[in-house]
Amino acid sequence: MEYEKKILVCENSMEGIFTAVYDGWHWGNKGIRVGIAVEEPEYPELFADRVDIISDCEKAMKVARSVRHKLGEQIYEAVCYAVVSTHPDKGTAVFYLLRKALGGGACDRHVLEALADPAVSLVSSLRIKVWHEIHRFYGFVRFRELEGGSLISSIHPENDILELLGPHFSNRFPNENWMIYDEKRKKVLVHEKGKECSVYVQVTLNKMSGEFPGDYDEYEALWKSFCTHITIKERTDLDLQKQFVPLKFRSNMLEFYQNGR
Amino acid sequence: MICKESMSIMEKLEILADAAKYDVACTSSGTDRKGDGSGIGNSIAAGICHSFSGDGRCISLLKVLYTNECVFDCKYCVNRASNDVVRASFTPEEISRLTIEFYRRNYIEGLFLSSGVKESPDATMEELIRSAEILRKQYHFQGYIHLKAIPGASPELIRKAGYLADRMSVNLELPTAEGLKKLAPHKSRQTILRPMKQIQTGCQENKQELMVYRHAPEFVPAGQSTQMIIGAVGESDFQIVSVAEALYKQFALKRVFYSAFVSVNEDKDLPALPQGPPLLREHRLYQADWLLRFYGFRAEELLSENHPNFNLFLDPKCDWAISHLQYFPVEINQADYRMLLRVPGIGEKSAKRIIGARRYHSLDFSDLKKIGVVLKRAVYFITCNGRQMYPVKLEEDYIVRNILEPGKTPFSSSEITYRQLSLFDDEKAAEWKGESSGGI
Repeated sequence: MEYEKKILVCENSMEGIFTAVYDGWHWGNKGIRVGIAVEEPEYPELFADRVDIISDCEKAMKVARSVRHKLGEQIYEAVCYAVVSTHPDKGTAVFYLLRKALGGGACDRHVLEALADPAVSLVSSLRIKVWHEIHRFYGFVRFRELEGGSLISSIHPENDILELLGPHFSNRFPNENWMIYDEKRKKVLVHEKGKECSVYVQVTLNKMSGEFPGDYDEYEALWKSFCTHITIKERTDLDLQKQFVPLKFRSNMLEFYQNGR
Repeated sequence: MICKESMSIMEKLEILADAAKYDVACTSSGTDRKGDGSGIGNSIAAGICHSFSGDGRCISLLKVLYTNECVFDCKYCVNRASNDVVRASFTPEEISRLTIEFYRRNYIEGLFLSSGVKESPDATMEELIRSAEILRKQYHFQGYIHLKAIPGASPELIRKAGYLADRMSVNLELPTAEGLKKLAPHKSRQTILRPMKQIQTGCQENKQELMVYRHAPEFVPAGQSTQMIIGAVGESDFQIVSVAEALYKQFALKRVFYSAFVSVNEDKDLPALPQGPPLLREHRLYQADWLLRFYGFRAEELLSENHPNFNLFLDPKCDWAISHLQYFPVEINQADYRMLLRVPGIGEKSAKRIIGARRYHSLDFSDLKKIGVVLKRAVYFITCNGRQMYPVKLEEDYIVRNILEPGKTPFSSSEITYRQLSLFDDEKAAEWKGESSGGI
């Protein structure tokens, strides 16, 4: 018996969600409701079919290509940002946003303006949230120089933004060897001098937590002292500072370490 | 003067960052430039904040003075010639090395180099140029550089600096010419405005040049800014806002910064500020500054000779709206962009979103909430499809009373009370009688 709702369970990645969008599209055409879940649902839903989706690079590429071509870079970016967020309904929202924009043969490049639609509103709020985090990390990543001159940094981002930091930092530091390590997801973004970035998953760096015996970066002390001396004491406002740099970011920012750490 | 031989970089940085902290601007915005792969760095138009100091101000540039030795004797400045403080100077090599090493570790967006006047304005300007030159030519640094134009430096040097920097600034220091004469005897309006005009014309000519030759060198691509000290000479807000407006219009400035006066020197010409710097006033001025630049307000709409200062309890936009109730309520589904911008609680972004979203269907209050309108303030001034969110009176006192939360304002104790009506409310009644006709 076919129910009027399908729950597609896919891998929590861009590839997984785009494959689910591809596979779910024809059900959408028939008017069947579609939900995309990125992890095992806690309670199986009544009156809904569960379908397991196997990530397929080719299908995902097709979806990505048609979004970019038909709807433009702005919407593609919004979708990508929504997909790396942590919201459980992101897949379903992306699906319905794309249905709204591409459904019925018409292409609507202004679909993001239709904020009264719940799917559009969710995607656009996720986009803003993820973009803010990316933008914060553009500033808050701190590299430490290792012997030999390569640079290393570690971060704890809330959303899965590591790959999205790649273009910015490789444009900024084209002639440096650097890596950024996502401690939460155990993956690392590596850039070699003059080359493209690459991501390695399931990496554990033991030496990461700021303990490098015997090596001392003199510029770290200079930077800490600069941050102290640039403060105007008469204007001290620690709450305002906390608003701009919430505590969760500070574990990787050396100017907030108390005495060395 | 205390001069110490052979200081370490650490000591110099401490002294010269300390001396530079009163400069407000730390923005790295205005230039979009991709790295070309030859050196290091790029620049993003929105600007990036790398950290925030304990006073809540953003740190995005390495903001230091080249030297704190100074022949000028400006009364409000820590580095005035007659002050007895430790003096230090960087060399161009030290500055550029420090910038690059900080930049590599992603601590900063670039360099903000200002300076005291050592020997002469020209000599100092040359040192600043030399530092920027090393960064740009030796390190191929493509990040952000903000240089101060030293008042009194020659036009050729200003021009040379302009081709190296992203942004330049000349500080106006004080909003009135008399104030400047009194507190900064070595500076004059003329030595400040002349380089400002030169940078403006330079930028305009450069735009023409860039249209013809795409790869012509860029002159101050992120524009120029300035800063004024607030509360040092007893000027009114109206004077300040009018000066700012004139600067935006006549000198095409990108930003005017306001710096609440922090008393660092004892001088008979300076005000004593026992309650600390006038931070709330500074905040109101910034709010008004935004209204001038992005919301289409004019200075004389916000303030006038009779009403020369901002209300410290209400932001300037609310204040304007409450005294111009004839324009309200505004119908969200019909009003044009200009009018939407004037509603308190609706900013640039939400006004744009409203215009976009209402193409699809008419908007209701719940939609406005999603769009990001601050209904707490907007609710008094808008209707959706002819309806108010809940019945509110379009009346000055009523709105003021509701916007200022009870309990947090000085009003709550005296004029307006939220006590229940009582039969024994005779104190007030007695006052009234006494005032009106001396007892009926």
